[in-house]
Amino acid sequence: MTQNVHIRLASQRIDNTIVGTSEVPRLYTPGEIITCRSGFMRGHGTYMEEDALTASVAGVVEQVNKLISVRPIKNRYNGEIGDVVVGRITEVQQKRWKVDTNSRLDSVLLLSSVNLPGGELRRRGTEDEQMMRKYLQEGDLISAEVQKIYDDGSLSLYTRSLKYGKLCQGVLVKVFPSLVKRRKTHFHNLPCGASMILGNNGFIWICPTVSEDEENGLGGFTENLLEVVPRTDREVIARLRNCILALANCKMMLCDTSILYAFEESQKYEVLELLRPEPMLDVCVLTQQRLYMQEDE
Amino acid sequence: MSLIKQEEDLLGLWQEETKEDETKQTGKISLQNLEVDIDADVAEVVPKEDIIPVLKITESAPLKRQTQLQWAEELDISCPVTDFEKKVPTMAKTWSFELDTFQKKAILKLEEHANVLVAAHTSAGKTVVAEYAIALSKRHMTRSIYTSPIKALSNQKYRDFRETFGDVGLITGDFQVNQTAQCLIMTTEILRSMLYCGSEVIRDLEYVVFDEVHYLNDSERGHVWEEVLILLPDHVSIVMLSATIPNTLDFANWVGATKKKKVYVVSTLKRPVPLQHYLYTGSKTGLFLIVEEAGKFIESGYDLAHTVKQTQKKQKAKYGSKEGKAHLTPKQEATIWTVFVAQLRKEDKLPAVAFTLSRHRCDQNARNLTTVDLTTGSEKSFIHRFFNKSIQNLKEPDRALPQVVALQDLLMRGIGVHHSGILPILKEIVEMLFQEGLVKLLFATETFAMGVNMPARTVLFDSIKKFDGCDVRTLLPAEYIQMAGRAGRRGLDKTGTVIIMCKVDVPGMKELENMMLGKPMSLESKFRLTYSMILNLFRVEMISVEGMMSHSFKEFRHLSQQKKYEKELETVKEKMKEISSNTQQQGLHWKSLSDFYDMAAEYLQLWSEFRKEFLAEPKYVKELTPGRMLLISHKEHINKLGILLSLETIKKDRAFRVLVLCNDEKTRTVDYGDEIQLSVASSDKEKSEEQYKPDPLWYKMLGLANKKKIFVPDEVGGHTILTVTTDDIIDIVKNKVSVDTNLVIQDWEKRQISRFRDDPPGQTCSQAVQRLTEFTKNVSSGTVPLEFVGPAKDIHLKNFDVLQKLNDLEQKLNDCTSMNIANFEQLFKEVFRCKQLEQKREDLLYKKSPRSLSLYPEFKERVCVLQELGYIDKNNSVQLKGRVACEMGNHELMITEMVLHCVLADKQPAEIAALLSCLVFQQKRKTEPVLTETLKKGVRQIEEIAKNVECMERKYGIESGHDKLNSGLVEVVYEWAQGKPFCEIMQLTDDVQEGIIVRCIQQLNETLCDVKNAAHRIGDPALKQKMQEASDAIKRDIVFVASLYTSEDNPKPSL
Repeated sequence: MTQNVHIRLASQRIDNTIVGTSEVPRLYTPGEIITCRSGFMRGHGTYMEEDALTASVAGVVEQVNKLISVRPIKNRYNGEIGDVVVGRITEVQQKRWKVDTNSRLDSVLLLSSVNLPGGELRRRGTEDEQMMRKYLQEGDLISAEVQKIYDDGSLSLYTRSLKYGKLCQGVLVKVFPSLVKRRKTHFHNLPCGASMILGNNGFIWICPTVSEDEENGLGGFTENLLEVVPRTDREVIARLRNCILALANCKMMLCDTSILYAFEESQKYEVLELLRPEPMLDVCVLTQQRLYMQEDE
Repeated sequence: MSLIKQEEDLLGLWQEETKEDETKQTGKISLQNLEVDIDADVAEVVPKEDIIPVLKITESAPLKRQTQLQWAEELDISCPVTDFEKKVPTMAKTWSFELDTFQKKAILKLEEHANVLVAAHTSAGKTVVAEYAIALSKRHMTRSIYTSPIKALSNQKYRDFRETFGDVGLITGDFQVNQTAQCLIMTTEILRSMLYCGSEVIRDLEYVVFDEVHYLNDSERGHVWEEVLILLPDHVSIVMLSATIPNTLDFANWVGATKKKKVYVVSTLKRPVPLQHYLYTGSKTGLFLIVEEAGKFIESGYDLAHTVKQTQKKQKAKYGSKEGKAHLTPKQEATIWTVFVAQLRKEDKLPAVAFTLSRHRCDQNARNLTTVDLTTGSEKSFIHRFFNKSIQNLKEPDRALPQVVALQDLLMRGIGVHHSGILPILKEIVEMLFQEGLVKLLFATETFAMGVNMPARTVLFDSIKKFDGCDVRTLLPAEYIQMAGRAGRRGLDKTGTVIIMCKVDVPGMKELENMMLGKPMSLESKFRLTYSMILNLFRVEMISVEGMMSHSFKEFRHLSQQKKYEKELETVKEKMKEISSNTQQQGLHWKSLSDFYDMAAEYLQLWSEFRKEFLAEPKYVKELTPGRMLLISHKEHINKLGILLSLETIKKDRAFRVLVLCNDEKTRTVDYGDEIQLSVASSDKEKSEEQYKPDPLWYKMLGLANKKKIFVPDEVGGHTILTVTTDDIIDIVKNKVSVDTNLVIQDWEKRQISRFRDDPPGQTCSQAVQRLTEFTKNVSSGTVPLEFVGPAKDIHLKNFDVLQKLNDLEQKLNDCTSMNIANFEQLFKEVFRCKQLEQKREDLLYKKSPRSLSLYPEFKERVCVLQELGYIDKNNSVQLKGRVACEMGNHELMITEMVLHCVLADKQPAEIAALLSCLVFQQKRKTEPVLTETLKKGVRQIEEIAKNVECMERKYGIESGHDKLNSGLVEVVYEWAQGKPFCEIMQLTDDVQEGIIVRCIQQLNETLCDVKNAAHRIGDPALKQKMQEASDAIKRDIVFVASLYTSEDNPKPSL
């Protein structure tokens, strides 16, 4: 078995920034004064210091009417109600699970807000509480929706419909949360033969496509770890993963179209080759072009 | 004495009574005349003996009313449940009395976990069904939610249910208790917001009870019920309680279809206590019965009352008092009431509720009765004790408020007042004393009729006219029934008495009869789109706005027709496949022919749209006189010259009778427009579709194709008279024929009668035909040029464009060579058929899509507004502003704009509260409030924002539904938030009553909390802090004193 190892000098690293059409926005640094005029409201990422609105994080200024906030260049996931997230169970507590969703604080998944196997309508009882670890245990991956935001900023999750729930066989890719585009739907059955959940929190789940009628019976809690996923499917999943990483590397927004374009453009490379910087950049440039073309249309 | 016990007793008493009723009944006409035949069935089915053989039920005549729809079924409550104990061996809840049939039937369905709609008369015992649902969920260890339209009702139910079930919670806008209880009572708005945000409360929900579900008809809030019914998960069982409504089954069918689960309808046939309606004309004459128990209008009673009133008037006129006065002086009013009350007391008709449909009159009437005292000594002392205990939570100065003192005085004498201007706590005291029978005479407005079981022996109507915001009108049947229904206490009174006071005049008989016996209003959808609904649905994947719209009761017909459209689409697609496989081979001219079709279709479309307008031009009208030659194309008569005989009007359209030539004797059938064609088409539609149905469009297109060729008959003499419309007239020829056109018509019509069929045409007629034939031949041979009357010179500019377009198209059509193809007609037939099918498919696809929903345009408009204001981006993803707006319970756009335009952030808490009252307060005020400079500036800013929003809406064509901003209470709220006591702020307003102010401030608090959450969301802690302070400042004293129903140390009244 041979292995390819690529090691290169720092000076030989390629610049993976793709020049966009828009100008580079003005970046503010913490402590920098944004405005001294009154009549503005301070939003997230700002504070008032002697009547001057000051940035508290490094990032770009955003203004909505009279509200000024600074969006940080790099941050953890800030949840919004209705977001689709992928997360990992970190703790099983009384009537609730703790879930790592890439936010500052672990999110909460209440026992009363999950669909449990065997019926839509849950009977209240202690039985469920004792069985909690049977349903979801530490390390399990789940998909869920953000139901509400607590005062401290932590999220309450729920699995409103049967399409949410435990995730079983597949690949998890982690990217910056801000790279995931907010769309109406975040569940995608890609035509290339795999399904994808683009979590708003930057966790992306890729798995083999399950036919719809099979899915309906699951309720999101069955495991099929024994089932062997065919090699072709696995190759598709691996390629998708590498494409997503390539796009994320070049700081391109992730949505079903961009990923699909990247997937198509990457066909000239082996899956393995996509891990090298040059093909990555190449795929991204081609994807960018296609996206522009689509926009022009 | 506990109230619920009393209610049970009442139920029990009534039970025995009905049993008697049922056996006694022998085909008596029921109160509700629409259910006459059903009652007759009761008499047949229920034999005198107590044992009822099950088999006999089948013998009963089938109900004439429709009782079953796809998703709804009406249960026949005329046959009793005989095996109830067997079916439900252990009931989840038991009552001390035997249940009525309708209750048993409903409970059986509840046990089956089905949806139930109970439409029963007032005080028939609907609550039993609701209680059973709650008991069931308790047994199943699941949750149940009870919703009611009014907060006061929720409070009362909370007390009742807490006594029955123990574990009960209450959630209203400003009061929450025990939110994790198994049974939750809330307003429908709260349930809606829970559904939108997917609260965990919904997760283990099994039963939802909607009380007074006919509130769906409310124009302001009705849409909330509809939204909730759509949003509820399918596994939840829905229990709906409603007053009797005519279209129960339709409504149930909609609910069933939406939830994909059958809804069982149970309705009672009559009131448990029948009503007698009287007119009162004066103390000397007494009462006149006009509607008796069985619901029959007694004309003689009315006539008597009318004459008595007339003589009274005359007498008065004799004594010199002014005649025809519409209003009485307060003194006169006082006398009338004092005398009347004394009479009622003598006749043992108390307790009574006097519905007085204005707050002002309520107060005045009560005040007038200074001399009346209706209570005994022991009652007085009890009332005194109860009243003082109830107001002990109030501050000292609040206890001395004029309204409190005045009402205490009234209550001591057994008189109560109940309307929205009364302080909430006093209203509750009045309600509780009334339920105990200590308030003998209650002056109330319509809101009292919405309350729970609070019946009286007698209901009085001070007037049957009501001011509904824009107009003074007679009460609607539904309103009258709701109010009159308060009369008659089950078990205590044999009949309920309803008395209408005729102080000045007796109302018209028709008016009365219609109001008393008219049908209550049908449930109608009040569904509407709100910004908050759109935003809430955009942010989650659960259901789309389009889905919401298509599931609404409004669009139910649309939804139910989807299947039909789908089927039709399927057949159309199949046929298209068939045709395309056949025609592919001969596709040589396909392209040019289909191009021709498209052009011709466009041309004809434009033509028919504007032809009428063109021919209405004065110039043409002048030319269109009998005798004029026309070039027409009508059905199979293509491009024929004809003589205009007469002008007619059919269904507001102009029509022309035209003499034309024809070949075949067969076409000499009468052809009055489309009548014959249509009747044939409809009778064997299937067949003609199978073969090939001649379409008017087909002939029109053929006519266009052969434009230059004018029809020439093969033989002389064939003719007929057609009735054509404006768009059949291709052009007006310059020539005129002078014949007696009337004679021609008469002659032809005579020959249409079979007897004269073989007669030869008369002289005038054949002369006309002769002329026409000659002209036609000359024109076609080219010896005589065909000249048309040119268009008028002063055609409107708008029409000019159309004309231009028509000309262009005509030119193109003329250039088209496809009609020169040999065998054109046959080839074109194929193309025509294909194109028609395509057209139909497009049509069906449109009907199937959400675009055909009636609210779809408005939805698009609202989305545009939201996009332009930055609430959502172009992909309809919700942005920061949208998320802020989602926090708002009402006025979502206004408040969000106010927050983000920094109107609130730079103000003090008290000022913020005062300014926000602009959005909550509704009443008109006579005097301008005195405001500080900052407040004035704030009001201006708010007005500006309102104007901006309105402009934006108008830009996209939305009619602004916002209430006008009302700064009437700004000053009052400001002073209140500054900490002034209630009695002092009352002096700032002379025309706004205490209850109104309290309610406004309570609502304001909800808005303040919304803004507080919004401030947290946008990351401005300073504003959040201010909102908290503002909320704390207004939440004090009498305005936020705990409800007597919900407070733990509930001072229950008991003698």
